[in-house]
Amino acid sequence: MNNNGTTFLKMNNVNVFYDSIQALKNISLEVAKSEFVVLIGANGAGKSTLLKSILNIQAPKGSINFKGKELTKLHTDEIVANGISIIPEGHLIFNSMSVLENLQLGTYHGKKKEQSIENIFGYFPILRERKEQTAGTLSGGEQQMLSIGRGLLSDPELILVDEPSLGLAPKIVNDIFDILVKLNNVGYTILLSEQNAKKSLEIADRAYVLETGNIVMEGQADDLLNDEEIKDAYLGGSI
Amino acid sequence: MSSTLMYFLGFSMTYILMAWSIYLPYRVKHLHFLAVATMAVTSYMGGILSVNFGWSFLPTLLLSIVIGALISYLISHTIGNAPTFTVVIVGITFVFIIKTAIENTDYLGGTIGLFGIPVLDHPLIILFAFLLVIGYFLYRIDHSRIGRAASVIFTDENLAKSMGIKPKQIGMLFQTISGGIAGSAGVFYAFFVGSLFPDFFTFHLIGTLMTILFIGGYTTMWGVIPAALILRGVPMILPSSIASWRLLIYGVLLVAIIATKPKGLITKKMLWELLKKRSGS
Repeated sequence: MNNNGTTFLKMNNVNVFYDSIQALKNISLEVAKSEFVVLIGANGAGKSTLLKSILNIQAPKGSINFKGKELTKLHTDEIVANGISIIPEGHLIFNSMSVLENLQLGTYHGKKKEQSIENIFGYFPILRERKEQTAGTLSGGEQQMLSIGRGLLSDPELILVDEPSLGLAPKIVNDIFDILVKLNNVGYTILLSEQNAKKSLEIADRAYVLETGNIVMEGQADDLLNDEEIKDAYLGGSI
Repeated sequence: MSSTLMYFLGFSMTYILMAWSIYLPYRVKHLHFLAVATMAVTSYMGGILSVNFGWSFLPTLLLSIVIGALISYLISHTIGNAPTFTVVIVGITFVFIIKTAIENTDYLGGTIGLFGIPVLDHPLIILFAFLLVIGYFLYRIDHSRIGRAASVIFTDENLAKSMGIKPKQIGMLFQTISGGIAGSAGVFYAFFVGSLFPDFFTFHLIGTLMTILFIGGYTTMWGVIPAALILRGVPMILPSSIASWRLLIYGVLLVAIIATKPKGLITKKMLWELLKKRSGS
């Protein structure tokens, strides 16, 4: 099921509703410590809602357990303080603030701010060069790096990454995915939501396939990459 | 100094104080008209304390800041994280509750008004000095991590929560500070004008403050300064027959500005670019 068998995040029979519309239906999912898990599915399948439900941004019904703690009873800020961070879809950086100020937003919970920001500059040296520049003047890829850097500054153990490739050029997508692999290699647990099924299955350990709010398939990423059904539905029929 | 100029500057500075008390909570999308009710409470409190109990200005000012902040703090438990509309309704409701209470209380002068409040010897100097202190305080808040967190809440509350920011905590803090500033504005107003009428603290004041904030610009604390000066000053130089149409003129201006420059005449971006250009040259 996972790399070392330690369940880190466990969702059990989770349902999410937008008023009367059910967006997630009896979702059960597990992520182990240091694992890289990807959620694939078409637009509107419920991937982003699933990530939001973990942070209680979209109120879930059911059970979501992280390191033995029930998250559904906690507020979002308490969940973040417990070690979960989200890198939202579409970068969502603050254009009028400088790169440094955007990063400082991520340290809202942090204790060792200067040191933490230095660590981020270690991952993304380009951000150090541009730290006084307003974030709106960064390229799409740099903005995504800034968004990832900001997400890391709350000192998370589990990082939820929502559609990082959205609107980016293929070369930049490769760079961003390389960064995610590096983060996973240094110990961060990653739950990635992504429409780029091929690329994400290549780098992930395991995957869940979502369709209209249901998990319709799960397994090792390598196995899914070679699955005929997945190839037809998400990989354009061939790899 | 002519009395016209003195009144112009005194009223403008009082309006700037009040506009700042509305500006700060609007950093988290709270149109906090409770500040107007707070101003009414502390101005009458200051008036009574000075007229009936001989309190001097300074202790009255300090008490008014505490009382104003306390009123807002207590109510912020309910509306600290409420939607904009709810905050507006609660504020307006309190304005009318306070106005009605004053009108029906003979001890406060009722509808006739409260007179005989000792006017400050050098009101403009004291008001200006106080304005500098409050301005510096707001500037520090704007450029602190709390100010940055407020910008995130304004843009996307869910994003703010996902960064570990507590919107209610910041909403309560800003509403409390707003109450303190409005409390001080009430006492300044009382000790500047020397008389109080319940009709002053109504829709007229709410409309004026809203016009100052949205015409001047709500993205920076500086926008309300020229807006207050212009909106207070222009009616004074207009013929009295036109000046009496002031509220209508404000309304037309407000609609025109919102339609053409939704963030107001002075924006954070504009100031930043100006600063950049200056440092570049």
